[in-house]
Amino acid sequence: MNSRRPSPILEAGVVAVLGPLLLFSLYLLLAGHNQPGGGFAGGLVASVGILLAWAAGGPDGVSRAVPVRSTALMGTGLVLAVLVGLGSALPGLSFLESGFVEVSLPGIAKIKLVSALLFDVGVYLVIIGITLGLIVSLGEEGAEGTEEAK
Amino acid sequence: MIVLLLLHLLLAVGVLLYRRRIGRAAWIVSAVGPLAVLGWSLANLSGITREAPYEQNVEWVPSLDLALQFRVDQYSLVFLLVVAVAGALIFLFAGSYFSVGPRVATFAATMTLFGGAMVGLVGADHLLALFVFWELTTISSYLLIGFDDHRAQARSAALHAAIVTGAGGLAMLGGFVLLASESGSYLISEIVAAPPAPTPAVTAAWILILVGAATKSAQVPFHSWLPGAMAAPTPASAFLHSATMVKAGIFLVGRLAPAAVASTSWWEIAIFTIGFSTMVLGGWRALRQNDLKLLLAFGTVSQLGFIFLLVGAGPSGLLFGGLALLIAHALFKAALFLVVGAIDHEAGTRDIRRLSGLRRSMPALFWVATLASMSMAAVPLTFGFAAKEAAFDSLVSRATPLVATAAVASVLTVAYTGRFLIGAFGRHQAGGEPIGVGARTPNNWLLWSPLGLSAVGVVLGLVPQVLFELVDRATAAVTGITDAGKLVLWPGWVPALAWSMLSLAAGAFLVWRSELSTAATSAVGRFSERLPSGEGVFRRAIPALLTFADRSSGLLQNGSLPAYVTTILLVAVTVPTIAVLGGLPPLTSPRVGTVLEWSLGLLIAGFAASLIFVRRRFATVILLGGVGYGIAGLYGVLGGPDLSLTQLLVETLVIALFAFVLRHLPAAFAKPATARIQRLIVAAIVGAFIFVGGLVVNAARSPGTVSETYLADAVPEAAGSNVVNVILVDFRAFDTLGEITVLVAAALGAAGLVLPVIRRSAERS
Amino acid sequence: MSLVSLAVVAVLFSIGTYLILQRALSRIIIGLGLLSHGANLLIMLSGTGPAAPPVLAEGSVGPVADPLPQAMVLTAIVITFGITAFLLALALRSYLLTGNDEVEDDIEDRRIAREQHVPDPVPHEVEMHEVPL
Repeated sequence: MNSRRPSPILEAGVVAVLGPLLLFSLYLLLAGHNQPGGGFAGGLVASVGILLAWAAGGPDGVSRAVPVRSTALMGTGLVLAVLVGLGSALPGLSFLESGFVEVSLPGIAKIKLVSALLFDVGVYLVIIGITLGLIVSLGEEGAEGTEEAK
Repeated sequence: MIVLLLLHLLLAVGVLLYRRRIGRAAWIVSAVGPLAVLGWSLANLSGITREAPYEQNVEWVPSLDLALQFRVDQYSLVFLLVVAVAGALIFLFAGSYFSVGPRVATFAATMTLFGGAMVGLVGADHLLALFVFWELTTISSYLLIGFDDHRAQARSAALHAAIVTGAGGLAMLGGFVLLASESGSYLISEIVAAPPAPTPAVTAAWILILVGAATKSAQVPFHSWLPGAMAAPTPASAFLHSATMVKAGIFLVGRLAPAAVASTSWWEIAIFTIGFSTMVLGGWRALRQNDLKLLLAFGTVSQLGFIFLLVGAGPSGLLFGGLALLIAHALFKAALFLVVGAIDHEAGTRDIRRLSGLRRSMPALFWVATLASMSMAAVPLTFGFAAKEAAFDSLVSRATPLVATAAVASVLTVAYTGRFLIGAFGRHQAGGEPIGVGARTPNNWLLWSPLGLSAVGVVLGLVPQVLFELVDRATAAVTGITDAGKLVLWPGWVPALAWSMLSLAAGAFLVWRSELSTAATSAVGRFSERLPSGEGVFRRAIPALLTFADRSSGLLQNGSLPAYVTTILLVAVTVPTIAVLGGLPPLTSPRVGTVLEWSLGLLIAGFAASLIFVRRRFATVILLGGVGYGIAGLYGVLGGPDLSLTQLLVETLVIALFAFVLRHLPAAFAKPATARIQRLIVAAIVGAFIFVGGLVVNAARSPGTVSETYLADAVPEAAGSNVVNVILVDFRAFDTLGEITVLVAAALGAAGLVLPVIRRSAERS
Repeated sequence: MSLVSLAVVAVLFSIGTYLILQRALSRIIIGLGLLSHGANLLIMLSGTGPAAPPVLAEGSVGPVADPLPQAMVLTAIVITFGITAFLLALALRSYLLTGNDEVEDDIEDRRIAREQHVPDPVPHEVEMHEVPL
């Protein structure tokens, strides 16, 4: 009873949906600084995609759809966010102190934009990582027989 | 000053580290501490004047406005000198008294720590620093009294002392904080310079401080710890009870009395009541002791009462006599304690009924004890006499009943002095096994230390005027009064002389016809047995307190999670409610709300309400999801598309996770929700509180919010027009970093919790 | 702030409280979910009423919704998600190991509460050699 046959049709359908869903989540991530969206929302949309993969193929379906370990995603995201935080702290300090805001506004603005976006990418990866982790662990198959076993 | 304190610490640590190898040198090394204090005090004796006290300021915790601020004026100097002289001689005495060993070295280190704490206490100008040193003396005295830790008696006596003086110290801390908040300063010098106005809080502060001082100085009704503390080895008793610990309370009341008198109306009466009752009770109890050390202990209680009332009475000439008596007391009482120690050491007992013939076998010690006893009884030509004359003189000029009471108590002093001397060196009482016939006068510091202390007392008795300047300047430093009294060999025919002669004669008569005093004490003793004694009250109070703690924690910590949560919630509701009882702050007048808001609101409320009744697990999850989607809709209405989107997605994921978990659980809850009425009441209270609280809180938001800054800065500084996102990833990016770290921890934790268990149960099935 | 929203907050808090006072862990988790919904909505209510999203488009005028509560609530939503997941894992583990998801009373605490320790009286102080009567 533990082995649930994945439904090929459902799985095919999910794979078809997954691509656009991922695109949408990337759009939310990239547009988030100026439009509604951002790393949180983007990551959650991608997570819904993972959920769909589970619904179609169970844990195996998830591992086929996302061939990455959840811890790797979380780690990468966290490190990215920390690096951006460290990196922008020092220039940010000197930027405020030197005070040539007006002159180099375009250049500064561009740098700021990039660093904030990188930070958001970190958030995005962490969100995907934790939902993947949760889905994998809580969605682990094989314990349905517990009640009978007891 | 700080160097002196560090020196004590260094000596103590050094002795501790080398306790196995240091041997008898431990005491020599330790004596460096008091000797350094002595040297410092003498060096600064002339440099410290009323206008320019010694001051030192060491930053400690600047953010708490906590600094080690020392201020040594002439008043502190008297205490420092007493501590140093008595301390040095007692340390040397201890070198001969104790055997050699690591435990003894530890004891020496503790004594050094104690002495250092005492020096800090006397020198501190900051109330909190004073409190810290105060408690250090409590802790180290606990270790000293409980040194014989294999004896239950010593342990319980140490605990008794620590509980009483520790509780008093806590009361005093409360008083300090109140006093400082009312007067605006933690510095004693500033408080004394500008005492706070008499408000109820200030009154409470003074009561608490008085309690602290009275416990430390063993005043009625807190005196009972001091006789018990005689379980300590004799050198510690001599140090604690003649020169240091018990003088801390006296130091404090003397220091603060001018401010206390200025901001209360009852201070003087309270001090006199406490002091005189302690004086009489202590003298009375001393008359009934057969243990030499206990006799001295109750005598100490009595003397402390006298000094307490003289020093604590406030800005008056009484302080002069009090300080003189304090010096005299330290000298003769330390000497007598050491004599008892020497007797105990040589003869093996301190029981009056058994000691016999020591006058012949230990003549030198006998004369030392006689000299010190004469000072204690205030026989003319001793320093005790000069000091008591000064004290009586100031009391005579105050009021006759005062001096009369003091004279009555002095009769008791003379009587118990006689009892001490005759009991120690006279013939043993009938019925007791005589002991000590073969004891010999020791020829080491066991003799020299008390000899030194007595000799100083005799010399000072012959030329008391050498101390006049010291005492006079100390009195002036606190009260501003100069020439408040005189220290002379012979006062001339003044009323005070009559009083002291009268009490001396009456006391001598009681000694001569000792069966009279014995009969009297027995008669009264039969009656007083039935009265509550300080010891009895303490012994009953402690179990009562423990039982109370037991019952209350049994009631509160009953093991039931719902009960805990109920308690927490009700407290969380009650405390703010009490705070606004005086008057409700302004409330927001809310909008009625749009049709969309109403329909979403009804939907959410409906879903939520159904949760109470539904018993199938999965249905509850669906209902929770419905609430979440409804909330997402409300966010949309309120202008938060980001929130709306996030809430929708999160809710979906939560439902899925619930579904994962509920696969394993039974379909329905085993039991319906229990004890509905009580829980519904708590729930209703919380809901009502939140409703009113929401109205209050929303009215409290003031304009000029940080949001306006964010809105203004988003585009120019962060080049982003979605301000919510800009806050998350730019302005407050560090918060977000913390958040995702927490999320990672939660996800890893969840995986660690379930994965092994699921796999194991899968293998079993 | 609208009356109906505040009322919804109060209802969510009430029912959430009611549910966390239960013993079944899954009910408690749902109660916590309701409580956090209520808290988030309360924070949102401290902002403006219905308004345009705080997205500063080119040339846009007029008031926009307060972004600060939104940022806080966004954080809170995601954190709550993490906590809920953790609690669910806890409930699942508890169920798989013990066979139910009830929060039992702490037996040790119950025992201590039931037993009344009458403490030994403090041992007698230093023997007082009083004069025999």
